Amino acid sequence: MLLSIDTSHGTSAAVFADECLSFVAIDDLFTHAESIGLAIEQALQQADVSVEQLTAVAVGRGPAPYTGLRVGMAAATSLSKARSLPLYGVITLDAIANSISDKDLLVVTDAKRKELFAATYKAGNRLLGPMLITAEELTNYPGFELIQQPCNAKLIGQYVKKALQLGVDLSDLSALYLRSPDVTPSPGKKVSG
Amino acid sequence: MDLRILSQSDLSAIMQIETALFGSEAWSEETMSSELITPHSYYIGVFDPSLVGYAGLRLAPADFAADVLTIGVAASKQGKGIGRRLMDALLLHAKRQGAEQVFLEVKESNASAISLYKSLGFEQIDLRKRYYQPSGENAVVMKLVIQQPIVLGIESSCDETGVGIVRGNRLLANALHSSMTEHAKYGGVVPEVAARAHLEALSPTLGQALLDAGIKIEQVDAIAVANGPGLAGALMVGIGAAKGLAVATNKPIYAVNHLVGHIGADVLEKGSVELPTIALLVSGGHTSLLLVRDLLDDVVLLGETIDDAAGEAFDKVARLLGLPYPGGPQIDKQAATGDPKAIKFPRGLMLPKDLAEHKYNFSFSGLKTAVARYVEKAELEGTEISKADVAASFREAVIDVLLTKAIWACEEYKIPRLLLGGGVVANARLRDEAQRRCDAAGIELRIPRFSLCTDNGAMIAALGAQLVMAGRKPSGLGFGAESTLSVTTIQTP
Amino acid sequence: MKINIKSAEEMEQLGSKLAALLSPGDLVLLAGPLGAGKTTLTRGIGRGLSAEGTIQSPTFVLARTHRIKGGKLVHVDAYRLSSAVELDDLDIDFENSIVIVEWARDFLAGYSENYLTLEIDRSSDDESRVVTVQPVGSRWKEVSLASLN
Repeated sequence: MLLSIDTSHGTSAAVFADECLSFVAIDDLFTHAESIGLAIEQALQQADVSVEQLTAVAVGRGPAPYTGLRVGMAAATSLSKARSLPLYGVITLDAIANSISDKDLLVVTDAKRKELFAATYKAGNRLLGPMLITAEELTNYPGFELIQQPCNAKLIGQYVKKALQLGVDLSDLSALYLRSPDVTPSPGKKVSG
Repeated sequence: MDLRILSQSDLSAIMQIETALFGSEAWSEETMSSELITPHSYYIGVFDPSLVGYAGLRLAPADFAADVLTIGVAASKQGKGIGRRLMDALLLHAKRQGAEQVFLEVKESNASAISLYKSLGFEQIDLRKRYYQPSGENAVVMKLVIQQPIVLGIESSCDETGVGIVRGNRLLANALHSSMTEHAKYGGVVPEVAARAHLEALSPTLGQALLDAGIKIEQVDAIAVANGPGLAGALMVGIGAAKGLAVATNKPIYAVNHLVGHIGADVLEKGSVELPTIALLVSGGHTSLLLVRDLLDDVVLLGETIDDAAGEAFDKVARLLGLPYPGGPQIDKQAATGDPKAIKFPRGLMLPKDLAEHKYNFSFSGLKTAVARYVEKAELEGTEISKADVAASFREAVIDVLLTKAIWACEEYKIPRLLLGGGVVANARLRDEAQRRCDAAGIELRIPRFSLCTDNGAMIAALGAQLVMAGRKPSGLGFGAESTLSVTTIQTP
Repeated sequence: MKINIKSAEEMEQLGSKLAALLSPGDLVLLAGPLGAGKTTLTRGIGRGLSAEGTIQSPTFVLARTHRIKGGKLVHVDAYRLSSAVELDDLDIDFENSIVIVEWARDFLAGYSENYLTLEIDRSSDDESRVVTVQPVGSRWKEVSLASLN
């Protein structure tokens, strides 16, 4: 039984046996902290699976806007640690691409500041990215079908099922921010001016 | 039938029963009177409508223990379960106060009492021959073991990731990870940097806490987490982690106030918080003066900063003097050789005109500007200034305001107790001056050990434990991060 | 427009009057030296909006969020930043927030097309100040600022 969690967009959780047994999604972009506990609990209830029956946890690790992303990752980390379960880290763009097709894809999600998180795929394998591009740069990838849609826990879970079969390494659990905090260390500031 | 706490006005009613029941072994009226007001005592009586029975308990918080000192039910009212009711109340109190063991002595011949105690879980541990005088009867010593809840607390309101574990009022672990060094180059806390650090530190800090406490996560009875006030992005990491733990272990979760947690930290120092107390919390992000009558139900914000927090003022002035972050220790270093009386910098919100609205509020902005002007003027005129004198005089001004107002509060509310908390407590001058002023004013000063003063997870666990021990309903799973949470909200439902 | 302020109380009152003109989605930039009264002005704005929590200097935390009717008041301090503030990093819900930024003097040009700047001039040693209000963008075109005086 796999529990998948994603807070790269809204807040969502899903439970998988071989198939998806439940999927709970709260689309609000500003309530990750409020929603995460309820989403996980409801996903388990709707699947009629107890937390003791879980055998693995998967979590989207971005790229995504920072704050929300961390909520899901924190919950996934603590839950998997408490139950001594393996935790799989999934790149959101990979999960989205996996759900579309094996065609040449350019998968993008909103990165705010008029930029996009992007990655290109050919026959199910990632070629470029994840990277940050501007809207203008979208045209730099001719021949790749543009897919712009958010990720969620169901896509994460489906991707993990496939990835594990193919022996893909999902052990990297670092959050993908693709940006540093834009706080340039300041020189001593003149007092008045 | 009413059960309530006894006072001096009940003395004669108590003595009537006492002398009738215990004859030559009865306590004297003086003894009973002083017992009622001895610290850590808990004396209760059952009234129907006059007094029909009473019992007394004394806590030894530092030992996590309690002793049942006396229990008596009027002869004509025995056999109606009054004794049991009194014992239940005493044990509930002992449990809530964190006792892990309760002791009592009873006459070997008192079969019904011994049977009552056994039914409550007491076991005989000793027999004291000829204990009761002048009868020479033996005393059976009995002990009750109370399982206090094990609570895991998570703290991530600023730049320290803390996971602490307590059992009742007993500290089991206090694991901490600080991202302060990462912030140094930015001259202060950067919320994004702090939040990233929290996520990375989460798993190791959690693991360390469990290791230090020597327990498995399954043994935890409840999870507590600080959901505010503080940096929203940072708080959210702790909240996500706590909720994950709560669902994983199927245990209740308590969302608690970070500032009230600082007061709760004192419980871990001595096994109890002496209440009521005035509390002064001073850190980089907070400067608050609180009146605490009841840790769980009655915390009042008397005043707080209306501009910079004290720690922040230290950081800014350190910057003005060309010193690195964090400012507190740097100012201290400079001030060591400086004269605190060299420059009389202004004390904010201390003038008569300020006292009506801002008696207990703090303002360090004017002080900061005054230091800035002093430094600027010297630069313009090309005169040398003594950084040491500026640092010492500035520090003196901050401490003067903090302590003057804190002591005003103690005096106005007639509470001879002051608790200090927050990272600025690391400042030795603040501690020394606080001790000096409190001694002069007859105020008891409490400063928990440093690791419990700065932001930490143990204090959050301790506050959570207080809630569990008081039988409070846990929080639901829907709470969020409240960056400006008020101290009057001790637990978010 | 220029407004003469004679005391800290008047600065706070100016903030309250300004609050009446603000709605979620608005951006206000405050400029002026240390001690000019930017936080005092913001306190007045908070009071005018019945904001939850006390308005305090956000220097330490970069931004403080207060609930108001219909959204949030976000009080930002760019004091420790020396390049263009990327307000998005603070995860601000701009659409539903009134955002006040202190020390925004050098940047934010080009960030938003609509904003109000208030420059506080502290030339004397006493409490008097001169506040220069400059509206920018179509949002403020039809809005009268006369009530601020």
